[in-house]
Amino acid sequence: MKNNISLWVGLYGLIILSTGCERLSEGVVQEIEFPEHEPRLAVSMLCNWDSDTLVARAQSTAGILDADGSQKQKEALFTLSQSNGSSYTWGGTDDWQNGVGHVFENPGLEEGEWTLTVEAPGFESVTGLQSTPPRIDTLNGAAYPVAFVFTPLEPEVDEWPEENKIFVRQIIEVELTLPTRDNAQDFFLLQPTIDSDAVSIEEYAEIRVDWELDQDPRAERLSLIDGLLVQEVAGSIGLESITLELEVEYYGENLEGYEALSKSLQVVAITPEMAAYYVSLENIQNPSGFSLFSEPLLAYTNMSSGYGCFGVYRSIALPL
Amino acid sequence: MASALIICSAGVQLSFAQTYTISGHIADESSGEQLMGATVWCADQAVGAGTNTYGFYSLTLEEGVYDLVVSFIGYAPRKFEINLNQDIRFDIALSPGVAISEAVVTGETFNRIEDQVQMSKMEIPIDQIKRLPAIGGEVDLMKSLQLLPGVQSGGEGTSGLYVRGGSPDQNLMLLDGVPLYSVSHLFGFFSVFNADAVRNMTITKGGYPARYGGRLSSIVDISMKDGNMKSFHGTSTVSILSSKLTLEGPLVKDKASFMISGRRTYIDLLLNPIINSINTSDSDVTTDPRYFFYDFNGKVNWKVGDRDRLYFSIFNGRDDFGLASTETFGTSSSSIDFGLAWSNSVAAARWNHEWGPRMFSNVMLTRSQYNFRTGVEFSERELNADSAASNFQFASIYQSGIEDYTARIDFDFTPNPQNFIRFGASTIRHQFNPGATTLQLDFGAEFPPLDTVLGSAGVSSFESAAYIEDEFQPYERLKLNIGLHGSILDVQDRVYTSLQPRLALNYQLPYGTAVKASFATMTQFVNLLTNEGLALPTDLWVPSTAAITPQQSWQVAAGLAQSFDGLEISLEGYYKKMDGLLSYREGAGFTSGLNENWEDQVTQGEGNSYGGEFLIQKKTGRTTGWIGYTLSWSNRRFDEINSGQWFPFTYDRRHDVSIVILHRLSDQWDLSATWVYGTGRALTLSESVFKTFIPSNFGGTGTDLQGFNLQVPSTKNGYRTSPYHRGDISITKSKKREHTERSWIFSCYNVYNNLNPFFSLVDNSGNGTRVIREYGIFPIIPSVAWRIDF
Repeated sequence: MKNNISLWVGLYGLIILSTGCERLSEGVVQEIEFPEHEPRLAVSMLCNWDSDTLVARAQSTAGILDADGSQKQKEALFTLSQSNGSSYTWGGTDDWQNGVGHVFENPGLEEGEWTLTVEAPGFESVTGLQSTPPRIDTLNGAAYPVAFVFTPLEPEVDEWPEENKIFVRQIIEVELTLPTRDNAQDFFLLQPTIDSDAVSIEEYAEIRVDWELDQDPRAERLSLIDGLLVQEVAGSIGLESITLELEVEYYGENLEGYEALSKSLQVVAITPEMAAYYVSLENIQNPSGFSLFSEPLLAYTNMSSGYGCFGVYRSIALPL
Repeated sequence: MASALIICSAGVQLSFAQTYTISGHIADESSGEQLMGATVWCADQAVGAGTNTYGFYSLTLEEGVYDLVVSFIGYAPRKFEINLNQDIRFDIALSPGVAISEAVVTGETFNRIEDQVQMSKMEIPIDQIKRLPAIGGEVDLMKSLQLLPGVQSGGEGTSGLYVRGGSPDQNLMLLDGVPLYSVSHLFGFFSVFNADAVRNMTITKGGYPARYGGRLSSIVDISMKDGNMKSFHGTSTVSILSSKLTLEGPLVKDKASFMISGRRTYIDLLLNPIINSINTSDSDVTTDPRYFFYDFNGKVNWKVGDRDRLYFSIFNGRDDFGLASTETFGTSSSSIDFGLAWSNSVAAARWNHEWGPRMFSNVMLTRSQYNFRTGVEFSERELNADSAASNFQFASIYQSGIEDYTARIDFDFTPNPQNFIRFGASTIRHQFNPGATTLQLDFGAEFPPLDTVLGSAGVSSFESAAYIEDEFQPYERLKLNIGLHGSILDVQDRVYTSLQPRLALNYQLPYGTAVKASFATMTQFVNLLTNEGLALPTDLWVPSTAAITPQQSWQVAAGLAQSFDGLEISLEGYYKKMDGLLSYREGAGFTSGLNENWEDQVTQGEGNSYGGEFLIQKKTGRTTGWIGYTLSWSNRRFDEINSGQWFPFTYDRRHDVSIVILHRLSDQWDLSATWVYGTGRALTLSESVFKTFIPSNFGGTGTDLQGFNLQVPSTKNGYRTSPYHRGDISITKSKKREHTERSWIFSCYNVYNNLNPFFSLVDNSGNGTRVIREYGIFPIIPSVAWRIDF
């Protein structure tokens, strides 16, 4: 019995040694076979309806194993159409601007529901649907008004004489009341901006929403735009009295230089589809936890190909 | 329903003449250990009774003289003649060992698979489990359950159970009747159950009797050994991963006994010298990794009198994993300590009382606690030129846990041979701590220190239940178990109630085949939040709350069962529908938003699973074992996942095969072998990429766009890993001496060295393109263990 078992164990050891060493060293079971990916059009058109230029981009999708990746489609044609027969087409290589995309100059389009159709050689055409948000305004009696109160606190100034510079830090308290409609969902982006081009290369100017923001459930931070997404939530009273603090920092020559900087708060009315796209991109680009422990995330889309977004916004700059 | 049961019982009872009852306990003759599932069979009347968890039986017959056969697998059966002209109390002792006369009583035995009303219930004798091949020589109860049809493992080497398409939190793990919330050591590669301390283990996958409740998918009932009432004994096992020692013996002979069992791994002791030798190469850096687990079981039982018995049992288990590193550079030094620890502790006090020959009760008071803790602590110290020290300290500690206090009472009542009634009630106070992070910051004397706690507030709830069930035989060929389980949860000023009807039937066909069917509804008030694909102690136990509704299910099953000459064959089909399932939303996980409430990160949905299971099992003889096959489907749907579309559950496994053979070569040599095959796990992979552009500065002209490359996942769980298959083998050589038995156990895990997928990564291939590779982590692993019984 003992001899038989020793013989079998020895034989087995030889077989394993002769067949298993390579697998043990690499640890690779196999490479998963992916089906061939059929490229589709991924469309990005998130545009200010009141702007003089509308920009659209079309890219090809690529399989995860495709080393070339997503490619721009300069020959793509974009058509905006309405049910009343209005139709505008642009695109192709003539309207392509490097570093920008396919530009539609001076559109002057009406409000309402628009269908975007995108066609490109070798791809199935793609469509997406959008309803323009109302024009946002600060005027009394405006249909879609924003009301605001800005309270700048006294700036804190530190002098750095050895560098002949000053460092300024100022808090601006903001109270906003944003419009809401009974029959539609209202979404807004808030983005503080500062004219950083006005400072020299040796200087520095920045504005941001204070991280000590009150935990107002109506406001959600979006790192993608260094701003906030505001929306109605269950239990809240519309979008009244949204309070936040803006923090401005300046490092430069003197206080006059700081006061001369142009600062504003952009209030952007966006569609629900555009809001959903920004939220999904935010979650993908800036996961709040260690992504290994998180469930996989899909980017939102309202395009028929399943990739990209057609979104419309209207904005107003509130000077600070 | 309850009144219907009582009327039914009374009606049956009234139809009988003068009856008397024989009752008592059936125990192991050599140890006094109570035998659960032993049977007393009266061939004259073709009726019998089985012992309950505490070894108690009660058989009521009309007045007369009867031959009784008492039997239990692995024990020599005994025959008695009794003159039943009064109630008789009769304790019976059986001798361990395969009996020559076993074949004689085979036809007369009770509790064969075709006799049992209960379906979908399975048991592997502990003696068989100890002879199965084991990774690292460490026998594991949960892994042995994974070899049964309808029960699947979570991943290579792990001990999690996925029963009939359910998730691990849907398994009620009972250790001496007390729920355990985490049953894993070493990140799930081993379970906390020490086989040397366990007397019995059963798993119920469906057709749940009314006495069980609180989970949707299975009941795993594990009983610790009571302790030897006759003499002092012990067992010690030394394997390459851990050592364990079990001692048992009488405190007062035939009156009271104890059992203690401890186990500790020594991975840390083996690794530390290696790490220390690496540390000596750089005197400025010291690294101190740590990992260990231990568990301890203890039990005392005391026969207070003929009719009363007290049990006290405890369990404590802990895992501690971490890495500490210290670096010195000139006058500064820094240290960092990362750690992950989890622990279980259970305590139970039980009182058995026989109210008479026909009624038995058990009262139980228990406490169960599970804690998880992970975090990092960093400190930096620097000596300035004037010898003043500046310090910086940071600590982030995340903790979660659950603590239960339970009171429970159960009654067994046997009014006549045709009726066996069980009823009882329980109440549990749950205290959940579903994740809180302690942040501590100290920048030195110039700044105020920060010491704050972020995260979800604790939740307490009361869960109460009551049940009644009756197992009876309205016709000669038909047996029924009808019951009702009612439960109620009081949480956050909200009350959830649930009535759960249960039905099981057994109809005997003329040729001995039993047709079985069952229907059961279940409600579950606790949930385990887990990221699919990872089985970590970070998984979070959370309650049903005012906002999170309980999980509910109904399951219907039907099948055939028959035994032939020592072979048991069963075929079952089932369909299970689940609602209120809880999952993280897309993009969420336990590390998401430390100050977010967990309720904001979850979504609820539905699921279904269905399939068929086949089992052929040989329980006696020199060669024992089984062959199991499962064909199954399991799907999920959540509004906020996969665009609201149905998707396969991660552990949806179309085919699952297991073959287990145990063979006694001689008195000294035992051989066992297993082979398993399973369809690959479903997983979500990034499938395509595209570039998108969005406005990032709304103050500009609208042409200032920011571009992103986005990876797009496949549909949820749209891919499959490679199929899983593995063979294991074990050879045991035992040598008996006068007072000891010593055994060498040689095991080989993954005997033909098939690397099975454990995780997948996108990687660069040799020619510059990207590929997705599956990686395995367990090649062939030989091991040896030494065991001594004394």
